Amino acid sequence: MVKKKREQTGNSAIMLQDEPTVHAKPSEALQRALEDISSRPDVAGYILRTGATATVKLKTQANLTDYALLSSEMQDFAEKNAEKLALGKATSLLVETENAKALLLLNDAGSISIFMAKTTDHTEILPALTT
Amino acid sequence: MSGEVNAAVLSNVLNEYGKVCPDTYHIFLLSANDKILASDQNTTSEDAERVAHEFATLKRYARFMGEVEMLRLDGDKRWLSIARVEDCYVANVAQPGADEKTLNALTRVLIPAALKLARLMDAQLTEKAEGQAQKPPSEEVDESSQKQSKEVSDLSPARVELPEYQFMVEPVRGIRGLIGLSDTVYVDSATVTRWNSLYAEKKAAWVIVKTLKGKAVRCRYKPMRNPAVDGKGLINIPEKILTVLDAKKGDLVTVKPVIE
Repeated sequence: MVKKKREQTGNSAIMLQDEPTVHAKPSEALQRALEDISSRPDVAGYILRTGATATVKLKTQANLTDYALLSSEMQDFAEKNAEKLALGKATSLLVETENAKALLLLNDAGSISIFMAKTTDHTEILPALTT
Repeated sequence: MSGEVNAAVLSNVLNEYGKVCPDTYHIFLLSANDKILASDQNTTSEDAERVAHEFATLKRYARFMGEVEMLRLDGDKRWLSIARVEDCYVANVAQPGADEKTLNALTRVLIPAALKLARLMDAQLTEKAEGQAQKPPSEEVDESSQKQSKEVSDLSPARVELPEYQFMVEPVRGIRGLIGLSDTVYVDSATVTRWNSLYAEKKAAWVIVKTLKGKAVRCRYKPMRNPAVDGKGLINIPEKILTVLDAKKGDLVTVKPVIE
């Protein structure tokens, strides 16, 4: 039986944890980079998935479910289409809409989805997360 | 019918796109409601439909941020991009190092031009269909087309007519225009091969070329030899026949082979 634990960190970070969990803990450098990115005024927040854990940090809780579902769907889209179209191992997915951008980065440990304003240059964000 | 014309025109354009950018593996066009409009020869409809289905789901989940305008999925071997162009989406798969500047330019220039052309053809066909529907049968044939119809009806009952194909008029130019046969049109070589394979033992010796205005002429034909115009939905017609048909470059004509 899966027990869910909800933990609030700061104003808006929510950690949803399924137990039992075996996962790699995100490195301190990654957590620091994510904190820096999410503090930018043009970034709405991020969702970090490692193993069965998801860390959600959004500036507003209004669309929390929408962001979580989109993040999950993006991961699904990336994995399925990378296989179908022989793209190799999916590394990133960028979705640009009329009003915003969502960037998904994938690696062996899990995935990071970052939600930002349409005007944000996502290439500025990438180096901090890929190094 | 018009849908087929659209798909044929667009597929030709997508194949050309692939030739200009050899680093492109697949390219296909999706409508706003995720239907496959056309795809290049490397893309199976099954592949395109699967991507379209996944993309439709993703768009639904992203709607709270507005309509999706662009998507880019990077893999370690290739990448997929889906970009909105007018009211359609252009999807292409290419390898890292592909000339993205050229790809973007083609996507933003070539595809809208092709869509415009396909829609124009669509409108011409709709107009033709509406015109035919409005005219009572007794008034359907005007004087000029009566003559032409007579010419067409001269075909003996023993003759078998194959399905019609539509092409865009391209006048015969250059040396062929001067020394070529004035009663012969040059038809897309793939279409001629198709006719030959349909009726292997009987050969279509003539074709009936008909304009949307109803003027028709029966003439000889030959397969195109010029790779610059072959396979692009065009028909090379000499000036003499164009005058009879009262047609000009860019007009849409139907071509019907006749076998005896």
